[in-house]
Amino acid sequence: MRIKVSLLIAGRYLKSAGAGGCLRRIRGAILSVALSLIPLIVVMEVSDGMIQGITARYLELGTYHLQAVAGRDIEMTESGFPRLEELPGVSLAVRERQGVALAYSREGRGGVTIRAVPHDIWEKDAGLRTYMEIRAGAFDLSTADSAVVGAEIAARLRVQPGDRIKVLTTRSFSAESLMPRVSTFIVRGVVSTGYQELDKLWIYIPLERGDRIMSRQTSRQIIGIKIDEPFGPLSALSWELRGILPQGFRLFTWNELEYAQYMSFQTTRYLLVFIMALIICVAAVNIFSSLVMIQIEKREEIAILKSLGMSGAEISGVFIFLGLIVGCVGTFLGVASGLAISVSINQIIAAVETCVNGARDFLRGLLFLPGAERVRIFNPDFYLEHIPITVNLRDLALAAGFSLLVALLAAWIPSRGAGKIRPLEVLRRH
Amino acid sequence: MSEAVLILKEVGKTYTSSSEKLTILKNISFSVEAGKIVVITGESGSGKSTLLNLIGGLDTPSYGTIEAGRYQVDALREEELTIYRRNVLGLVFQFHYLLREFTALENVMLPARIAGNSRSEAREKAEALIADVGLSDRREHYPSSLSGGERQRIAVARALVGEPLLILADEPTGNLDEGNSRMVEDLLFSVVRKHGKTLILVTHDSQLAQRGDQHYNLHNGELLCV
Repeated sequence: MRIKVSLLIAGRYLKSAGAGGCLRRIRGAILSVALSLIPLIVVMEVSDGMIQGITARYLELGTYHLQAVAGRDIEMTESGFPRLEELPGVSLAVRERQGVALAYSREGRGGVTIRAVPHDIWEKDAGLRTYMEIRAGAFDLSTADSAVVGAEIAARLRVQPGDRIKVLTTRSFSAESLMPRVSTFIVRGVVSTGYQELDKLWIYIPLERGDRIMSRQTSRQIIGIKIDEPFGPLSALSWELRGILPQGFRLFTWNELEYAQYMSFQTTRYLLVFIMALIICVAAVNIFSSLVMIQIEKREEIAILKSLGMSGAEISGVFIFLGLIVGCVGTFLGVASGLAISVSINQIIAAVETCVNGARDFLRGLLFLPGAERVRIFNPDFYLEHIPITVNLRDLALAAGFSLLVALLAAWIPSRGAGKIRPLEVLRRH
Repeated sequence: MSEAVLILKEVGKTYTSSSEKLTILKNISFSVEAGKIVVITGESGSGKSTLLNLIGGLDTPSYGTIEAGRYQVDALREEELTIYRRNVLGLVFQFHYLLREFTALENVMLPARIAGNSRSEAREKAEALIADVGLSDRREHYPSSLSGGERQRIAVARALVGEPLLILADEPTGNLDEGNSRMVEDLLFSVVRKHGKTLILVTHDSQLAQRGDQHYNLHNGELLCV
């Protein structure tokens, strides 16, 4: 098979414009591949960014990157606390005690999760500082009666910094008995995690006070561990940590702890990617129909080429090259455009919001209607205010490979048809 | 006596439809020596083009054998037919069938490129042949900007570029006016003779038949030596 001749003819077909030229059809096919690839790239990159952003928020605020959970019969103390921070790759290891309680004030009450953490956690934990927003007061746990409450709880209890809240916890002294205990705290700060469901649950108190008001039977003791590369491979470090931890501790990685949520995100992402990939298959129909049309229009030329000595495989090669060129150019344009949209997604969302709100304000002004809350495409209570985009080259390569493969498959049938054209049948008709 | 480049033995072609059996060619036997010009005349529908198609491997005979060079054409498979057309044949049709996306020069180069010649080699051959057909100044023109006669002259050059053993010409002047017809005929004969090629020309023009080395007439599917 003489590839050069097939390439030469495919190249000429690509250049032939005007009536009967292939350029118009090829251009249409390239455009359809590029347009179909854009949503796939955007979904892959943006959903990746959103999942990583949402997951990172959960990890930095609640789950930690790894958790060493103490058994029920272990009473963790500051002195018996293993020095995990000294391990390479570990940036933070803090003791925390968690338990459920009833919080109430004069104005309201609600079930909460008490998180007893070291008083200096705000200074030590950069992730917490990054993702936690202080709505009022400060993240101040310097005194034993300090409490920092989630924004939703603060709203429910109608408290603000300086107000008192009471917390009802239970202590268990034997298997049968539970003793209620009421503790009073002064609200030092009101914070928001960015998620309503977390903001209505969490109350932070100093660890020493938590140790006193919650027993090991009614609370959960953990060592929250943060590492330098939470999204990197965790198995090696996990093994090392498991070797250091005293007996009775169980170590969990963040993807074990958040498995259900992470899988839910991933499943949604896979579904979206699958739907977007279907659009590429639709574009393949366009490539197929374009090449079939070219094959029909060029039947006479194909017959002549065969009578000049071109083989069926070489004629098929012309169409395979056309499909490949459509695939390559369309994929390049699609990936480039998709990537450009992905990395600018925050600006695009902001621009759309500005336009929508501007148009709405204009109409309200015309109709003398009162102002209303700004329209937000993503509710910041449930989504990220800023979607972090990191270009995933592996995903891009997969999408590009898939697009090329689909283009080649779409070219396969017309190419076989062209290769099978019998010169006599065509020339006799002419 | 020189070697026969084409031998047909008892070749026949019959088309069978659901209702009837149509015999186009009956027991055709003849041979052609290298360097000869054979003219086959006959009325329209007498089977001239069918005979050329059989020799060209574009169609298969219902019976009989066709030998061209070292190939037994009637027994060749599709891939072998491709090689046969590439190495043995040069075709000139009634219509020029030049590729619209290629210049005159590129059209002439194409069979040589298909046969595996390098670009420079193919170009050299094509330029010489275009000079032979007197169109050197038009070689960079596309078919759309050439006249009917010029296109057919380019088609003649294209048929010769692969240095074929056998040139098959099916009414090569059938679409041209008289002036152009004569010019293309003269050119075809002179170029074929110059290059020492074997030509089988099919035409209904009995005047043209006088210019060949052998003249056959096809009548009712039978070939008669004139």
